[in-house]
Amino acid sequence: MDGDRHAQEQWGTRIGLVLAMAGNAVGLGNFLRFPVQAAQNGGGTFMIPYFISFILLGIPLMWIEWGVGRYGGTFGHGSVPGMFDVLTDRKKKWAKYLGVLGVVMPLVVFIYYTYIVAWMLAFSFFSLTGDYFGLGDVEEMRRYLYSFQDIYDGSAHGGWVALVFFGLTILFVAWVLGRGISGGIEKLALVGMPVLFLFAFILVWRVLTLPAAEGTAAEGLNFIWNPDWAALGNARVWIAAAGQMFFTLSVGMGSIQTYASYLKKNDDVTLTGLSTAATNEFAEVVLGGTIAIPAAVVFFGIAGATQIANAGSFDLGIVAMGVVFQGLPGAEIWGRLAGFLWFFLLFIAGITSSVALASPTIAFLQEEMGLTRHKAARAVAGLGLGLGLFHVFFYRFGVLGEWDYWAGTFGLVVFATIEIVLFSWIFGIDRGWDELHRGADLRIPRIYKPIMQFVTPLFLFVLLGWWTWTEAIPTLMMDTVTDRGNIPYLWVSRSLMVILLLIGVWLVRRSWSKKVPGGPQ
Amino acid sequence: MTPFALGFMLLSMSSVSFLTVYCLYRTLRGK
Repeated sequence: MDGDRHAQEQWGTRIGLVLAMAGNAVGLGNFLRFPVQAAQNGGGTFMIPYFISFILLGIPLMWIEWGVGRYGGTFGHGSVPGMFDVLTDRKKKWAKYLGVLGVVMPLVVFIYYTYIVAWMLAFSFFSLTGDYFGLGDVEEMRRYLYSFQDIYDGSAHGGWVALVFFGLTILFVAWVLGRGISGGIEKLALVGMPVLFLFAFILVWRVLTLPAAEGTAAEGLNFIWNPDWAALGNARVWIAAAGQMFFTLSVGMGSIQTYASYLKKNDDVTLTGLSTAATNEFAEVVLGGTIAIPAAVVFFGIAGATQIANAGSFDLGIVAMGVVFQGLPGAEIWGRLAGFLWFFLLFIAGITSSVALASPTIAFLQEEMGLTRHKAARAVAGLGLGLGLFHVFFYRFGVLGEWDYWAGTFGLVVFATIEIVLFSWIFGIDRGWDELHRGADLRIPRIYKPIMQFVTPLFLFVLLGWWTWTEAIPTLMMDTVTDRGNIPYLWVSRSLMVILLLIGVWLVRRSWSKKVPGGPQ
Repeated sequence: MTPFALGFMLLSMSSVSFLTVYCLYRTLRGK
């Protein structure tokens, strides 16, 4: 039954699959987080550990996740609990419970990420209507953004505006998911991704041809690419580069595995997986690094752009860019248009990732709980809207950041470490290597066998240990909270994640006890 | 822009672009 339900759905075309996987990987991080990380971590120096992380961490994990997904799919599993179960030949009872992370984490990220994606939809609309035009400096623009984000601050809009855009975005995601793999997700990617790249190319051209003001676009590129060699010896730069690899490729999440589970048994995963990783890098390194920071340097100079980049991704991507668009020649038309292109580009990048993030839950509800795809899509939309309201109403207390840290940052490394141990050590690297090469259109260089077995796991353990010691423990103990009044809200925020995890564990136990005679395995 | 930064940027961008075009070309050809 489970296998039949899974076999009914498949990708329609190979280009559709690559674009959907690229849509999963290319997100807000490519255009907002990457340039900020590069600027904060030594510019060109950041790119050296970044590319090393791509080769030793990003590409191996991408291949492994495609392989795990396709392997699980052949047993009728579209979500990680079942995949981890079959990776251990159903012999390790605990594996499927660890796999719950691969459903709950993407669900948690889906909920708050879709809220942020809704901001992009709203700001593309505000750009077309010229709603923020007239707010000529960074401080005014920042107040405008904060007013939008905080439902209790109606100074720029009524608080309901963010809620309306969030509702529209969730409904759109549910509609796409309800239409299925080839009819919904693949079609969204086939339309959305070419539009995203077109918009990005137009913006790159516009930024590179901006007349000099406080700085030039070339100075902006120099800001990102000129190396600060002293930073190369700083462990934090290496950790930041490795961390960016997780965000950008969407590995360590569970969504790649779900998409790959809809492949046929002998479909290629090596070449297609590498294509996805490369397309994502193109969007990030070539396009993402050439828009926001160079534009900010032109309008605010190096010092101003540094200050903005240090304030965070939204200050760069929304506040600074909002001011930039108002300063473009012919701003009443071209500024509005450029603003629309930028924010709608971010919306497309985000919505294709949102759909991917919700997919593991949809697959889990379909295959392990017996729901139809439409019912599962409605359930995810209801859950997303319900729990999303928690972020809408309590955003000012930092609850979104709490989810982002545990599920969208630290959790990725935890999950990837578990996954690579299961694949390379328990499933076995020899079986894994053969599994990856079944129907392969690309022979993976043999050097990657010891890399997958030793180097990538070691890299992950070091990363996990470092993050646990320097960030996770202080965050857990609330040492990093500046406004102590927020602590009760942050505990509620954490509790909700724990409750979702416990529900996931309970559902897996219930599902397995039904399908396997003799109770849970 | 310093010559080193320009060279590093062009090398990085052209490598990533080549990898992307090569992989997509082979993927779409089906081998």
